[in-house]
Amino acid sequence: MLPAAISDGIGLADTHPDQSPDVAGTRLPNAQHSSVLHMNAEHLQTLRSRALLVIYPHSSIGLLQLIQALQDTLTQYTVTAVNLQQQFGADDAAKVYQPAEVVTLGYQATRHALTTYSDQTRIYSLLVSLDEAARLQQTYPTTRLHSIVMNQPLSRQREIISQLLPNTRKLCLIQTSSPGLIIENQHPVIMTREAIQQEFALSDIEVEFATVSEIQTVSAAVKQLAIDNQALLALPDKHIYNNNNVISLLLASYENRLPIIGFSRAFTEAGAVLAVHTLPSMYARQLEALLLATDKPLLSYPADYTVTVNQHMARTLGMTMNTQQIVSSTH
Amino acid sequence: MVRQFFKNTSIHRRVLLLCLLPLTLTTVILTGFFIYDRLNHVHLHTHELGQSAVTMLVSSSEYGILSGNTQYLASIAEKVLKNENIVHINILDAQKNSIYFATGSGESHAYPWLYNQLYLLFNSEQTNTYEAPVIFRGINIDDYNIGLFDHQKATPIGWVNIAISKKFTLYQLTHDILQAVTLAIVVYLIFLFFLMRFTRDLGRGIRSIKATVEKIQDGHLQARAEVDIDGEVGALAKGINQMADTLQRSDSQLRGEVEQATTNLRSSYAEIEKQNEELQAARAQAESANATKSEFLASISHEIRTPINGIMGFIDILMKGDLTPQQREYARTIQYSSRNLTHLINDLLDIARIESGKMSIEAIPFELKSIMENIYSMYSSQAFEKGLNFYIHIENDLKCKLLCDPLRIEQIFTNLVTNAIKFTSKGYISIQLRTSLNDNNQVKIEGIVEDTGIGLDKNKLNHIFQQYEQADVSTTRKYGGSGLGLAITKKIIDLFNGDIKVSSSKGIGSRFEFHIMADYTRISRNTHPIDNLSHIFYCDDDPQSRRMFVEVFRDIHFKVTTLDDLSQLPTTINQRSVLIYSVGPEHTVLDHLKEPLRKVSRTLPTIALVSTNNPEAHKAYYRLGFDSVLTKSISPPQLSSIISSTELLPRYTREPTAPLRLKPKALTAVIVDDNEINLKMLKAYLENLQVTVHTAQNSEQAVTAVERHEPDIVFMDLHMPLIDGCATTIKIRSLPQFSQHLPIIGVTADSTNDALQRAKYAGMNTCLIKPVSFEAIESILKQFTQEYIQPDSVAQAEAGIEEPADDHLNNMLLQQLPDFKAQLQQALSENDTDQIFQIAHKMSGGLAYVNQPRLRDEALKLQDAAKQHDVTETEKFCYFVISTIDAMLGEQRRIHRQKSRKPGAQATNISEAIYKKANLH
Repeated sequence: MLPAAISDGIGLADTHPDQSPDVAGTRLPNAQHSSVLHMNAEHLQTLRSRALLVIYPHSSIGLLQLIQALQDTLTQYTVTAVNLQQQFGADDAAKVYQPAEVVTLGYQATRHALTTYSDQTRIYSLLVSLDEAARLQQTYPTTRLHSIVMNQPLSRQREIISQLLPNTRKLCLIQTSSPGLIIENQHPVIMTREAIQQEFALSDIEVEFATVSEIQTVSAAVKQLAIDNQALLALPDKHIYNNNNVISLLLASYENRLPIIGFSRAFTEAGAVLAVHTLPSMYARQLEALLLATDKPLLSYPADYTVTVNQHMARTLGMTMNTQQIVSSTH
Repeated sequence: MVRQFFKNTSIHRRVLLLCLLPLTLTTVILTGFFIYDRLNHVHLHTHELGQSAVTMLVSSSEYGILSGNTQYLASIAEKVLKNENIVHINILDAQKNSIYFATGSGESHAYPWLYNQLYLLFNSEQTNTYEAPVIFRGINIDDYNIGLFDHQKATPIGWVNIAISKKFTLYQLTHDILQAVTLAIVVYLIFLFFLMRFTRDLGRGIRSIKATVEKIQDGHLQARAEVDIDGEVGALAKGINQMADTLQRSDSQLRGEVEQATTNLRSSYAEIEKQNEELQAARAQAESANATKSEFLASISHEIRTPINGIMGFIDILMKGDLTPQQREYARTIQYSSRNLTHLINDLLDIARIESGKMSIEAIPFELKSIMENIYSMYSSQAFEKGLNFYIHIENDLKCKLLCDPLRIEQIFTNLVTNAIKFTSKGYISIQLRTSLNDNNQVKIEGIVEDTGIGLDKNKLNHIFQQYEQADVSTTRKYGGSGLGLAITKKIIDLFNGDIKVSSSKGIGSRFEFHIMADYTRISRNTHPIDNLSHIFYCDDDPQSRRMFVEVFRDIHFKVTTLDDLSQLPTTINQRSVLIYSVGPEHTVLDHLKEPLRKVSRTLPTIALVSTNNPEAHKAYYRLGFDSVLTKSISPPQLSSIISSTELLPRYTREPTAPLRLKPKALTAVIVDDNEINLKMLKAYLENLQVTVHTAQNSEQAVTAVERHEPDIVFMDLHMPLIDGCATTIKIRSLPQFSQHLPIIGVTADSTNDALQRAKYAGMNTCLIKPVSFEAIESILKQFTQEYIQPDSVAQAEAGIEEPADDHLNNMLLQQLPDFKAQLQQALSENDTDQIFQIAHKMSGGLAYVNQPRLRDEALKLQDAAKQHDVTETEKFCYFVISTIDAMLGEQRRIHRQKSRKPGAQATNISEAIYKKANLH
């Protein structure tokens, strides 16, 4: 497993096609929207056989990059993207025709597709957390929904930490009162603290947990955890890590010399020392495989991943990272 | 005001003001603008400072607020507070609770007073406060922004508040302003210095010139301006000096000329003064002459009337007697001439009175109809005698009494009618009268006098109302007259606010139309005795006459039937009917009437109305068969009275040759006059009219006579010695039995309004103006005594008048002369001018009828002098009169002595001798 790319620094060090912000952002949704309105019967038939409708919640740079990656990758499909929030968007498309396969980006788009399209339409959901995917499956029990979650498997995280921060022996995690989930046999199951500790014990790393509540802020938790731990592993949970408290978290991290291992490239740019995450093109390839597969898993981790490192932060915190040891993720 | 200020200000001040005003204005404006600009700058600077400071603090304090790190915040604030304009910094949390507060050091400044004034002037706030929220923006840690890590809303996490002081910037501003003002003052003073120097130089020259000009104006022509000044002012000074030289030369030249002219003027002035004095004297003389003329006119009126009265009176009496045809012709000529003379005098006096504004209009109630009756009775006979028809038509009579002057209205008609009769020889004279009410509640009297006379050329019409104007000179020669009648008429009409116009055609006739305005009192009309049972058949071939007759008798309610011819007379006639046959002016004896009359006279009385007054003609009509013959000029009341009594006449007593005498009652009259001649003449007149006469020569006798004889009428002289006519009248009126009904007629030669007014107030019914005519007395008797009936010619012949002779009068006068002399001497010794006036007046009255011009002249002069109480003149003329009387008496005695020697001598010759002798002195 080799990483697809490693970024160095706060800015984007390498030029990855996925990082082009305007590839999908300006062209696809509007062009496809226009084509929807002027389709004839023959075209519709073609669409029904080869079309792939992508429903996305809004026009952020990240999403547009992903759509572009889908279009670039899924060349055998006519990829049509519709914005959930725009006029003549997903609802109108659904009225015109019922596609056989729909790709949804995020929780809201997935739920929309589930409620709008018939059972004949197969839904492929991307960019949902494991919690969200589990909730959707619970709410809309169906076999036509196939989700590729954003969560990286714990083993992958452990391997990366071991490789890049080989001196790390004490790791801490912050959790809320509700427990996290992991995928076992294509189904979400509760991830217990013991299971986590067992997993990291494989690399001789101890794991300490802290629970945040209304009284215990994340900053306070960091201050507390920093006393005995060498790094904080952040798992995607919007109740703990969000845009609003990330500064105080990062400042607390800086003050208390506790490096944070994030879960996105943006997190690394904000101040985390490194992050394991999946690129849009990687999602596109995994989706292509899923579309072509006959036995389609209902729930799966991202197949490929990459590691982004914030060298500046690492130096500030006085850390030494073995970037030569970084391995990639290709299955 | 500004213009006035500049007008009264010297040129020096004006220039100073005109230069300083714009300079000051510019300085003030520029300084003001500078301060305003600097102040704006202060505001802007403060604002920018506040904005930048707060922005900086907001961005830098985000972490401090978020983390509650006051130390961190203090470190930021400390940096910001280094700016000395910032007074304080206050950092607050989201709930605006202060987290951190710090104040600046502040700076003291110079010019505290100016600083404070500027604050007060521009801004009461010394600090500006700026506040901004601190908003947490967060950091994105989500690659796809798909909601996994939601943004929270951008709510403020805290506030930053900064107070910025303007102290420092205002200090800078104060400093700048002081510098600018100082600079402006310095520049201003420098400019002022140069300006004052310039204006002083300019003003010095102009003041010098002005002083020189003022001196020259005051007459100091030797004054000269300073010429050591440069430029235009110096040139001006030189020019003025040259002008002064010229003026000085001209002045000396003019002075010589003026002195010469003054000398000439003085001599002219003296001449003018002299001429003025002469003019004043001439004017005084003219005024005196005018006064004398007026006085003369007044006295001539009286003095002329008295002798004319005598002439006319005695001629009338003379003509009533038996005269040879030649004597009668002479007498008629005298009568005619006297009348003309009277008219002329009346006209002249009227004109004089009108011109002097003394003629006034009286307001006496009267009936217009009575005036018409007078006019008819006075002038119809004249017209008829000329063979003319005479008509009077009164249209639309308002049956009211007018309040006006009947004398003047009658005068208008008299003048017009007299003229018409004078200039008409054939045809008719017509008077038409119309009355109507106008908007001013006045009666408008419109009169038309029309004739068929000689007429007038159209080009003469405009002149005939001018004085002394007749159509042409030949008219005067042929018809006589003064030419004053129409002028007087026009002036009287003007007095009545009326108008007169004339239309005429030569040879066809004239038509005078006039109108006048009069007040009125509406009363019930006194009608004549009505005999409703009488029926008059009026036969006349002239339709206008018939119309007039009907109009007259309609008013007195007779039933009138008009006939063209006797043949139209109905066969059955009421017993109380009468036939009136009007004979035309031709006096033709109509024999063909004899038979019809004979038939008619069996059934009803017949009356002939003839134009002539000739007894022979009357007799002819009696012979024709008429029961009575009357002249057409008889008045309607008289005629109605006759008609009413005609029925009473027994048919068999009608004697064709006998006169118709109805109610023959003799009248009794009392005549009062201190002048025996007047008494005698009036007595003769009245006795000729079959009036029993009693005479009285003074007031006492008059009252006694009236009480004793209870007369029907009294004739009273106005001027009498001791107690005059007015006082006597009052005395008679005070007697109960004579208080109202006794007619008292004044007799006077004084025709002035004053005299007539006095007579009226005393209780006299009217006045006769001397000379008194027979007709006038007759008219008075008709007017004031109901019983009077005109005597017929037979009775007239039987009356037997004692003829007054000039010789007889002369003898009477001579007998009175010694008495006059004694009375004069007595009065003279007592210096009693009033008594002398009475004696002289009595003498002059008596002398009017005798041919004693010298004595009369002296008596008149004595009368005037006594009237004016001029003792010297009175004494002088007294001696003249007495000596003349002595001469006359001496002459009388001498003649008597001769007469005793020559008994055949005639009385008349004696008088003539006395006259001649007396006038020789």
